[in-house]
Amino acid sequence: LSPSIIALTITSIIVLIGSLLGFLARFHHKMDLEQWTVAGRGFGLVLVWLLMAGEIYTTFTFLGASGWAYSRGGPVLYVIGYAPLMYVVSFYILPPVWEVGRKHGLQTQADFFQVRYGSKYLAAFVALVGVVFLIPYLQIQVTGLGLIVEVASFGGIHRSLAMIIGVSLVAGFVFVSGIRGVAWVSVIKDALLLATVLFIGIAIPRIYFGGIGKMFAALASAKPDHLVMPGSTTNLGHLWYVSSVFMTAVGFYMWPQYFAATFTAKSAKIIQRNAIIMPLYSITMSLVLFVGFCAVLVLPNLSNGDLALLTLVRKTFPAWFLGIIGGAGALTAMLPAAIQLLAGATLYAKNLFRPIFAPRMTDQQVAGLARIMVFVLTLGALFFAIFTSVSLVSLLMLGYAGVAQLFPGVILGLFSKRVTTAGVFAGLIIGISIAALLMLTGHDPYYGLNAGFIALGINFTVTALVSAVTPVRVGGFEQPSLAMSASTASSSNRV
Amino acid sequence: MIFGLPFNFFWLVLWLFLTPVCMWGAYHCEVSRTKGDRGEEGSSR
Repeated sequence: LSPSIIALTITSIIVLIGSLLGFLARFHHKMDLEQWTVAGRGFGLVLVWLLMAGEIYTTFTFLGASGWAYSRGGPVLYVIGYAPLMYVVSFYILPPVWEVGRKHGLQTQADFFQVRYGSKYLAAFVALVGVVFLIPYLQIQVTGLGLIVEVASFGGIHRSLAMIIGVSLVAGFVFVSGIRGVAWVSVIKDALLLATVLFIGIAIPRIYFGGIGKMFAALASAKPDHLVMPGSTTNLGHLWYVSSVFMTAVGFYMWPQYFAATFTAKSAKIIQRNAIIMPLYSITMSLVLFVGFCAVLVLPNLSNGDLALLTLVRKTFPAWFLGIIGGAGALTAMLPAAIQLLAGATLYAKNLFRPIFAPRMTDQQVAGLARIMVFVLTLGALFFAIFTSVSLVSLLMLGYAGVAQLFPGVILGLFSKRVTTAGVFAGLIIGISIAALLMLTGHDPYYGLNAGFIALGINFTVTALVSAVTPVRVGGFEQPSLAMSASTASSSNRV
Repeated sequence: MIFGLPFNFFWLVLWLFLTPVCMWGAYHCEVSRTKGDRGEEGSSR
């Protein structure tokens, strides 16, 4: 058997077992809208942890971070810098989000804005922002999936074919099992990711340099500027680092899929306990960076930095191990794509299409539309992944800058009585416009600062100024419980 | 270099260990305060 067939067979078996688990997750559960989107709000600590870890450690962990360690050096440390901070943010913000979610039957992030600010147009805009910025994040997963399978099969399977097969499986189990499927696939994905990353993060520096310390000493000697700011870049200095860490830490949980994951928890305490243990899981990120730094010396002329980890693994280990890494990597791409699809599809159907275009749609029709949207979004992400070429981290930065603009609306909505609908709407529009303008015209960083951070600062200022001169809405989360949909109240409409 | 890591890398990894400790402390303070508040409410009745 050729190494290509051995690796490809093992990768395929892992992907198929993971997908099968996703399909089987729906058994013994009546899949109404509440079950499909938030699993009936019944997950305990283990399932919430698996779901959150499954979402947080994406293909970016596997390929993008090691790619940046390889091609840019010092600036990649921002990914270790923001990790503990974002969990602190989640420790304080997610429990109240969960509380209002339970009280008002919220299923999506846009539901949160709808109940707090009482404007279907603001909620629809939030849904639009979520869907638009989820697409580049989805594209990252799909692109990563293609890269992983192509390298793991020694080029035997073209990346486009791998993308099509992988996302078809994802769309299938999301369609059938919803968020429950995502959580169960996480079991196998997280176990594999932890084991493989722990192994390669320690073994590769040891094999080539005799240990992690010796690897860093060799790198510091061969490329003294690579490990400090701005590394191998010219414009990612300390200001960029600090502003990126801040923007990412506050913006991280503004991704719509994390709201959905939060609503699945049985209690607010589970969310807090989860935040306490999650930073320990981020240690895996450091191990991935070790591999990227190793590749700088071992594979000095790679054309695509995102391939540093996989190419080094292929060079170092036998084909069967590459197959395991390929399988773990493929699931690491498929799983986040699954909940991103679910969140995007629900946002579109429930918060964008129904309130604006078809107010008379029943919940059952909304659920049907959401399922169709899973396939539409899959096709969109596939199109962008096959026909465009952008580095994984660049795409991620664009998405973060966009969704981070929702932070003022969430934080002020939870803790301030003075914020107004007009204020949040104005801040959001200005913030997103500035972030998009700066990033799409190549002005990121701008005067050394992360473009999303600048946009967020202006967003906060505009929100405060407009809120100061517009009337405050009475009600919000204090009003009696509002069932967001008939399905929430009855939980009986089958998806 | 500390424990084989450059200082900036070591510092960031150190906080991955210290953050759960700090949050664990905050969590227990909050739980104790919540219990205390409930106790006060109970005794005022």
